[in-house]
Amino acid sequence: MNAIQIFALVFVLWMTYFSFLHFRRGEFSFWEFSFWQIIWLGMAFVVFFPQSINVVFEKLHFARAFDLLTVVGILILFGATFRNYVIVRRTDKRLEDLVRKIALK
Amino acid sequence: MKTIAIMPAFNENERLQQVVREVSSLVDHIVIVDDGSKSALSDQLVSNSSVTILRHIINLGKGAAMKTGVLWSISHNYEVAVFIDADGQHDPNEIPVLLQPILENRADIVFGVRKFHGRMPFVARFGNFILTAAMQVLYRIQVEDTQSGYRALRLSASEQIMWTSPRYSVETEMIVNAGKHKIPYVQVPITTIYHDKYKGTTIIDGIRIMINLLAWRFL
Repeated sequence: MNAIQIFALVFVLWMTYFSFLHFRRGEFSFWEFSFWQIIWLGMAFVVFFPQSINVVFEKLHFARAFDLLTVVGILILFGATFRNYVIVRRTDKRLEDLVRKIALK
Repeated sequence: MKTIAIMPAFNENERLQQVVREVSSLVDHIVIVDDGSKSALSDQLVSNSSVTILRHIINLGKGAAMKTGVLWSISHNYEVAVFIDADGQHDPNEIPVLLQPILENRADIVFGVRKFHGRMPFVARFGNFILTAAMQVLYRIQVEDTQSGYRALRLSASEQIMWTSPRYSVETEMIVNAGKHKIPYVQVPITTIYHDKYKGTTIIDGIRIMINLLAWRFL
């Protein structure tokens, strides 16, 4: 096992612990917990068996696995940013409606 | 026509009492929207039957406070509202001038237009010039002072005029909505009073308003 694999393993265990903690506290549903668990286990699998994704990046014409990782990472970041934006807007609107409702009571 | 003054206020203690005293003789009622002030304004104002104080439990912004005031006024059957700042930047004696075009059925919304003189901070003058020009180019609406908050509104037109901006874009959005729905409007000259040049719209607000102007036009 090389250094990057040890680092990845620690990271995966750490995130698994946090996902489980949120699940036990009732902040994650079983499906949310399962979703994140699949992500962490998938990461662990790729770190230990890097050649397993060769077939993916060859089909997508990426020269290196790292390129694929970068593109996927950026897409996820944009997706997450959009989702956060929507949630903040919705929360803002709800907060405004609630504060107004209390004021007009 | 039943008239009401809507006064959004945030941590405004110094001049509020005097403004309320001056305004109360010129309208039928006053609604002060305390927009999450540190200490509730209702504790500081002398109780008065012609004044209603609504309190936002947290600060939402001027636009949101104005909207709360409008909704309260409509639900209490007021017909014409005048928006006036609580910090004494607007001369209450000019309320009749703002109300007159609506009472004479010449307009549904009246915009107060300030004279831009040297006492007004340069940033405010420059920002207003840019926003006014942008408004004319983008919306073909000729309002000479897009950022003045001293306005009167016939409340039956409030549905078309109603804004979504919770903060300082509210003044601009009102003009945009008036233009979109072809609401008859009149501009009247008002006095420019600046007590504190660090209060009110900031450069960041100005940039935000500009972005909103473009978004409302093209998106």
